[in-house]
Amino acid sequence: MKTFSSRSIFQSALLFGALMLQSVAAQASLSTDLQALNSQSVTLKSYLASTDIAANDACARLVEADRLARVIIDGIAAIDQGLTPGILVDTTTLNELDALSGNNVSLANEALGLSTELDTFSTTADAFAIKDGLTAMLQLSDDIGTMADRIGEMADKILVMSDNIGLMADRILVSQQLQSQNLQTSTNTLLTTQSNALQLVAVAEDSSYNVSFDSLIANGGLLAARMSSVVLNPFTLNTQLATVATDVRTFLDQVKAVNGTIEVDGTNLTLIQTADALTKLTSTAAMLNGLSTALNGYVVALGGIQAMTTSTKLKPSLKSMLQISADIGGMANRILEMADQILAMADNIGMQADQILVTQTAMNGSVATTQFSILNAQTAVISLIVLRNL
Amino acid sequence: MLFALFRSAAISLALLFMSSSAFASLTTDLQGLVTQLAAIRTQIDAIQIPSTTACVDLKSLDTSIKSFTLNVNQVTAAIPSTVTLTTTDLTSLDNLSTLALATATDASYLSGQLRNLDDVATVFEYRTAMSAMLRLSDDIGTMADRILEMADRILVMSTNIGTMADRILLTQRLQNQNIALIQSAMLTTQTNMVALSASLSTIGYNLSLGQLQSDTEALSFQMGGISLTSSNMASQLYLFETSAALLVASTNSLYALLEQNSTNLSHYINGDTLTLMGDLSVVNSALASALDTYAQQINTLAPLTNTVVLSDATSSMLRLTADIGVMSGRIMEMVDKIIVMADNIGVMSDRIVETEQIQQTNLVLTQNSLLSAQSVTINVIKNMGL
Repeated sequence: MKTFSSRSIFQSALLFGALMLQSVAAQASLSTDLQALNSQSVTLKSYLASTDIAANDACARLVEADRLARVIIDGIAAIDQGLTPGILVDTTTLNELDALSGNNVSLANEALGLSTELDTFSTTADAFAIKDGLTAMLQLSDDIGTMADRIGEMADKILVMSDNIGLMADRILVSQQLQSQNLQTSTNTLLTTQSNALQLVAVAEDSSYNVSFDSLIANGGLLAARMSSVVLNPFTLNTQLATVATDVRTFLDQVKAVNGTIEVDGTNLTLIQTADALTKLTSTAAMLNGLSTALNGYVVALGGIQAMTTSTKLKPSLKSMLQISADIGGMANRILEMADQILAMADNIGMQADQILVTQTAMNGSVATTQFSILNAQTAVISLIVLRNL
Repeated sequence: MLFALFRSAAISLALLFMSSSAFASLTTDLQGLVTQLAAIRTQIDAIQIPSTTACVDLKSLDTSIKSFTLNVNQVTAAIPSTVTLTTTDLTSLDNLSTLALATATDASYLSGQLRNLDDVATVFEYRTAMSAMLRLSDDIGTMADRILEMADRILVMSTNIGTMADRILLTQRLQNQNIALIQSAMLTTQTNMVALSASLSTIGYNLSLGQLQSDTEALSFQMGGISLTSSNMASQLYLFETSAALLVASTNSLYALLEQNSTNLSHYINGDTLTLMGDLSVVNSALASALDTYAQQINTLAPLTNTVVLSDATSSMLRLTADIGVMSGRIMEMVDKIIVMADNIGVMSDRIVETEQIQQTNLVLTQNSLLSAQSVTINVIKNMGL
């Protein structure tokens, strides 16, 4: 019995020793893991500090910063999940926790600094660069805010799991106060960062172009009607086509003006796409069909009257035809470019995805038809030049 | 008479010289453009997605294409009023058109690669690349248009269409065929990009948020209606702890759904969602305040309470503070996640800032209450030797 008792005591002592060793090992592992997180936080801080928001590589650096932040968040989550009851909190662990919380405040400050840089950059940058910077700031704020929360949650969990709160009470209280204060500072700083970024948002609805699109559709329709009403005759062919060429050029300038407005807007703001404006864009491209039909009519008429037309009248007429073809082609291109420009500026592609694809497909169809008519007209004109040796 | 003849000959010679000089310049300009576009083609060929520099590479390429388009515009503006077309010029125009098509096809291929990025990149990474890709597509389309317009303008200005007719027609047909293919490639690129841009209205979260708010309010109401005593403190706090754990689970579940959605979709912010998020932070602050009151009650009752009961109660208190802290943080994070990729951020920016300010104020109140509750609890543990 005595022997058994001694053995039992020995076993107990061995078990206690093993558990103590395990606890110390776990403790060492926790503080080592926290130290690694601190080291990663310092690296991220330096990385952010050396990031220039106006530099060409800014987007790649911000993507990398986002990745580094996520690695830290995942690291905190891994430590948090590995926490088990019976933790013996020591000063080293609390020091590392405090440092982690302090580093998070530094990261929030770096993000704030970048948002101030973005504010300065926005005076010279275009809307695309500002939009990227703005998204990056919001993403970074989200990452650093998440990190701050996870640090607080991990500290709370360590407290819940610890066995020696009474012994370490004063030191724990200092740590908890610091963590709480730092969390508030971080979130406050991040709120300023987000507010700075959101102030840079400049957005408009693409329906603000509806009046311009309506005007183009109406004027294009009138031009097509005027072109169709011209009955070409061999005696006035040159003046008739010269007048049409001037009309087409005037209309091309109107299309270019709308295109120019959208292009300028693209440097200042982003757009919310609406179904209404997308429908009007489709109609604007469809308007080209009227011009193509008139152009096809001219080709047929020219074929009929060319034999009765003198070379001196035919030559400038054919020049005008080439001019009209080139200008209608330029018009078709500008109209398609407007849709592309609006798409590139759009904030809500997802919401209008189906309508965007329908619009783009319809516009491509209209422009392709126009280009076919233009090629047909150019081919006919060149053939006439050869035929009449002009 | 002799003077007149001499003058006429001199003017003819000067015009011939000018025409020849302008013509030589156009030929050289067109060849220069071919060299530049060939370099752009090499640049786009070297781009790989995914890569750590994808968005920088795409932007750099876009800058090259924009400056190339400006050069095309300059050459177009400098076309003289009379041009004598040569086979070399037409070959340059053909090459430009073919290279533009190759660039558009490469862009379309890159957009296909971008779709594969979905699984390996963060949402921010591929959205940045997507935005750059849409710009690139727009600018390649403009570049192709300007090349075609330049070809048309050269045709209008040329004086020898008759003698070069067959060759010109070949060029015009090639240009026309290529522009159709370019537009088709651009449409594929845009379709690929639009397919990546799925969006979700946050209205879908409102039901869960409303339920969460009502459950949190119910717990807050329960906590406000109960005073702790030496005998009920452990059991009551355990009950609250169970309810709080369920709330944390609901909050985490909604958070996980939102986080998962954020990796695939952008959000269209519904105003009611922001209101609910703000309201939820108010209720959380009330919960934390009730917890602080409990901590004070436990502190007062501690000397009169059984050590086992007190130990259970303080453990529950620490778990409750941790859980309410988690909830409070998650609610703020949810708003952060929604706004990162919001479709209507511009329209909602004032409401977002307003909601975040409400949340920030409540976070401070919550944190102060939780810190106070923890401090008192830790002091009880210390003073009572638990």
